[in-house]
Amino acid sequence: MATELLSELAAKVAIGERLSIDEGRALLEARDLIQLGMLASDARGRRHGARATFVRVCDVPLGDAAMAELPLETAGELRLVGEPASREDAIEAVRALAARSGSVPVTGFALQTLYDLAGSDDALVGLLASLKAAGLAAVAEASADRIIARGASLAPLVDARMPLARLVVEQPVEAAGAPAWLADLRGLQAESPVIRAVAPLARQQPGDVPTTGFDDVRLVALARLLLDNVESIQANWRRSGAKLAQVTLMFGVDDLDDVPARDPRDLGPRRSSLEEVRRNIRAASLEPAERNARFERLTR
Amino acid sequence: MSIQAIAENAVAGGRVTADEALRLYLDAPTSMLAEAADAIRARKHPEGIVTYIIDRNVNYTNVCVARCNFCAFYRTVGSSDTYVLAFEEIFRKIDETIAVGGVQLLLQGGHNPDLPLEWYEDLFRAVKRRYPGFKLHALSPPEVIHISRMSRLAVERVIERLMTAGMDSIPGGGAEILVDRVRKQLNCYSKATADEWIDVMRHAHRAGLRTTATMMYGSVDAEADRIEHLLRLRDLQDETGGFTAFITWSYQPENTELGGYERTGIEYLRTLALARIVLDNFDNLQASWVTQGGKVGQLSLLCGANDMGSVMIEENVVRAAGASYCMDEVEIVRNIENLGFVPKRRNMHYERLGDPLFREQDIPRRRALDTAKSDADPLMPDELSRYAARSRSARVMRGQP
Ligand code: SF4
Repeated sequence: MATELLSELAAKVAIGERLSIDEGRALLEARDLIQLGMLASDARGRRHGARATFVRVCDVPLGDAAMAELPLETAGELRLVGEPASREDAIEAVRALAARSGSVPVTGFALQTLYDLAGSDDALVGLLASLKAAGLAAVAEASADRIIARGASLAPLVDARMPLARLVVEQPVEAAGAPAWLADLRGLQAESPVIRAVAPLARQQPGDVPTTGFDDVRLVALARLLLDNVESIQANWRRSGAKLAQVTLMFGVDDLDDVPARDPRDLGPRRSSLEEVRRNIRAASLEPAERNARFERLTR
Repeated sequence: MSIQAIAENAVAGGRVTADEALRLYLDAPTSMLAEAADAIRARKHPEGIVTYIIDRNVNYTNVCVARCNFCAFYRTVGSSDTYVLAFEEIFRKIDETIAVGGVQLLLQGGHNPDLPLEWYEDLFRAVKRRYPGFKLHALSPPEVIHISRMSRLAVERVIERLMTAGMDSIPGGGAEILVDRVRKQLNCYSKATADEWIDVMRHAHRAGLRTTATMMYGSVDAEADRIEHLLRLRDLQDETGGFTAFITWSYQPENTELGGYERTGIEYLRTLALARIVLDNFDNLQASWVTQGGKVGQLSLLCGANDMGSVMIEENVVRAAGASYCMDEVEIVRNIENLGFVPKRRNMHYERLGDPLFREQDIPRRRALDTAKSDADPLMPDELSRYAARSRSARVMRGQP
């Protein structure tokens, strides 16, 4: 039964046909992780071939935007981090950083933070336009949990023509609810197609019961299979750690976010973050390709 | 034979040759290796049980004359931060281990020239007197060889004396890669050649001891070396049947003289799966969550492992080289059950001891591993003065001529 279902779904994935929530549930129930991973890998391969991208990121605290030392030679994204006190602070920080960023794109802020500063969807469109004019290449992230809980939409991003670098997840998604939750995200993207990448692994882990490796890679695989209108499924290099991040590449992830643009100390060329991420991607039988925050390919 | 056919043959119970193993390792997709290894695990353990042991990994001394270049743990004779554990410290560790349901010590250490055979015998006898049922999984083959060289007694005789004193089984440490060319590059050829390591295990098995086998890969070894290593273990197992389990882990480069980088998680899963395919006469394969982390460690159970190893209370060697993951019994059991397996406690002989202990009694959660020495303990205990030292610095310290 499970084998029949899997071959049926494999045939659908092979021709790029959409999987339903019920089919997502059936995949969960089959509990065959290796087959699920193979299906998700096929789906990833259809979109991205044998390539996996990564981006080297430098976090810049808002208060340091005008003076932080910037690793412009190595970073593919300068990401403003922190909560601006006002719209003006946000715009000023972007302007200050963009003035010093050369060709490295500047991203920053969580969508919710900007919404809180703006107060309404209309005002948010205006704020996004101002941030864009100041040099913001993309909003760094939006929290899927908050958007779904608030019934909010991503329409202001579309209206302001502002890209969203990634949709992130705060709290772990319970396995049984994952197909329906992914279908909600698929609907969100259908309404306002600004999500370039989804990072499905939760940022916060309950101390007593963190997600397991099985939970993580299964969710990643389901995300790849059900989010057929999202280009990239992403894993976070720093948060997940090299080992898990690499394993997710076998389960549908095509993009590794948050590779450090600066190594904490001189690790030598063979152990630098750049070499480590490339080595991990190759050991997953994929070709590494460095990108920037605009998803433009970098040759370094 | 195609790669698929080689894998199918292994799943059906056929034996793979060295060439076939190399082809699988180099060319088979990870999913194929994992599926084959998982099918073999399921054939060998059809009840879906995954075992673990509650024990404590104690390193009785960090003084070592072997100086393996991949090791971040050892200190040279006379260094200021060398230690030897006092018997009382070891008893305290046993008390703590028993308090959380532990049944044995995994006791290993450096090749300390100032600890004669009598020190080990006295320690083992003292442990057995105080804790009669408690097991000592002690002294890897290179340590046995070191004691044999220092005492000028044959390995068989050393094993016999240690068994009489209370040694219950021998851990498979110090194997690294059982290929002498690799051992010379790792500066561990002189501590034990591949033949010598195998010979200690042969003697131990003949003497009635059960042992484990290990492989540390990913330093200077090539894929073919790992396969040669596995085949040497398989051959000895055909001969003696004395190995209970196999454990592999990746070289941990941090703070070592050799340096370099660590192999990736996928390479670990592939190596484990290959070992499950090649070692057709081994019943048990352990997951090395200590080096791979809990998440990849858990996924090992889908790549051939049927055992989660030890609920560790203390670890010093791998931590010194950069890896420090901690999982207590609750966490190990949760990871096993999350995959649909049934968790069972075991002893070193892989006899099942029962269901998870924390469900029967109140055991405090543990979020970090202990280290060998607490700050309050002296680095060199007074009792050492009873044992003849060989190094000048130790003789001076012990007031010996
Ligand atoms: S691995 Fe063992 S034998 Fe080698 S240096 Fe370290 S403690 Fe000594």
